[in-house]
Amino acid sequence: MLPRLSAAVLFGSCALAPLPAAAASGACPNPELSLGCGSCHGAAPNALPALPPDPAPALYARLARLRDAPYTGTVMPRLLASLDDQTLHAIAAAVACERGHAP
Amino acid sequence: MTTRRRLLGGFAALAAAALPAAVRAATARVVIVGGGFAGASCALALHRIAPSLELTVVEPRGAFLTGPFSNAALAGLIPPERIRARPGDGLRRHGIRWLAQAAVALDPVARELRLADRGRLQAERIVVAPGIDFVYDAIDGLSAANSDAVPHAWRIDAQFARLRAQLDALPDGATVLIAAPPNPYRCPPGPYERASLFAWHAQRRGLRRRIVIADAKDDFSKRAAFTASWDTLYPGMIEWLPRAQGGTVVAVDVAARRARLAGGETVHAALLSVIPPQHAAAFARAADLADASGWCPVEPLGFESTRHPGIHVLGDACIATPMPKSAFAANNQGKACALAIAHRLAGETPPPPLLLNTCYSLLAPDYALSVSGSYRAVGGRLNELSSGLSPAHADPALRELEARHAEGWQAQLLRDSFG
Repeated sequence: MLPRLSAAVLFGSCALAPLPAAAASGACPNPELSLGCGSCHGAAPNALPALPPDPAPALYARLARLRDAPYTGTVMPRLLASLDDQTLHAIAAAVACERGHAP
Repeated sequence: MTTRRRLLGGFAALAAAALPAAVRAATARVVIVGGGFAGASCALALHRIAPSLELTVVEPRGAFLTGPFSNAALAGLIPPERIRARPGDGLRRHGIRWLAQAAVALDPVARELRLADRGRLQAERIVVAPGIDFVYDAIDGLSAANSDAVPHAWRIDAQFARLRAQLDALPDGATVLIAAPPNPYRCPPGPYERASLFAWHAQRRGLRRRIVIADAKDDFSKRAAFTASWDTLYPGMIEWLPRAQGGTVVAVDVAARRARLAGGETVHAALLSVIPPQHAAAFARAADLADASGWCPVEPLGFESTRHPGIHVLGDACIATPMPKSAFAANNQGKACALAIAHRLAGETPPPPLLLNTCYSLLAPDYALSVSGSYRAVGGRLNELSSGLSPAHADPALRELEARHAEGWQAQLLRDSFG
């Protein structure tokens, strides 16, 4: 875990970091599950929080918390409401890979 | 540095496509007609996924005003510059070939495009994302020629300035009529957001105003939350006349600024914004891509036409039910189509994409409502996996939080789509 975390910190803090090898070579899994994320989460002014550079297990935990939140006043709980754990794991793996973690 | 951050935030998902090396090195020709949310998203995604493709975007406009937050710009809540897209800049920055001219016609069998300068383009795959056109003659007395006098500004464009000028010139006590179209149409919550922000526009100036929404439908997106919010924010200012109460506008006299409703009532208004019924843009209909409904049927994995293989139809022009005709849906469809084209060119069936939609409506600077849903193909049809909307009654803090989210949504959707 430690090397991946360091990579993530580097990736998140240095805007000139090279593209992660996996992303550059097209080896990230399930791009069809994460194509909607960047429509809201990105670098535009006032944008919603950027996708966190967490490794897949932490991303999965975030997604599961959002899905299972009893409070549905905002968007994420609604979008995730009917996705099963397997799909959330797959989304987390896709996003983590795109953010620099080994697939 | 900005480019780098944009890449990571906006297009990371598709930069990382897990695709066969053969696809990344593919040399097929792909032409995209239309540089709106769907076409531009598709072009940028395809360029990242399969950089060796010979990719061309045909879009005559170098810059144009976009739909999300256009009502806020009309009402003076934000400057119009914030809703301006410059697809040419983004495409050129990414090294994508952009032809700044109109596509005149498409032969969907030969897959050949005819351009305004009489040039011709052939391609293995053609993506058609031309947006909507208006069925003016559905309303007696209305025509393409005189619509400027009762501006819809539903393609933003030239009517935006006209509508804004008419709004700004309204005197105290004026009546405004907004004619809301029948389903399906671009931006389902748009007419109701427009009514809200036209009320805000009057309230801010200390003017009295009566806003009538004459509707060709009996229900609308986020209705419970909209009507409860109107009672709170703009009591007594906004009236909704549904179809069942004769609300459909059947005729207009643009010179006299009068609208006749199906129920027999005639409304005289200082400002009429008549949003006509809609269908797929003429370009798509002339290319035999639309069915009898006036819209273009597509399969749900890559939005390939069910009428003409090798042609994809994206965004408002296609039938993507249950996805709404929204900028966000168009953006997601563009990326899904790019993935599907890459797979098809490699001889593979694309995996079913998870498609999302989110639409915020701004009712006041610190007050927004949202609707969102997720969609995926099951058994050859696009299905809604989940959906939800803002509660009808909520604490002002939630409405304000959603207004901040709305600002981020609009800004990022623009950047993600146009680069």
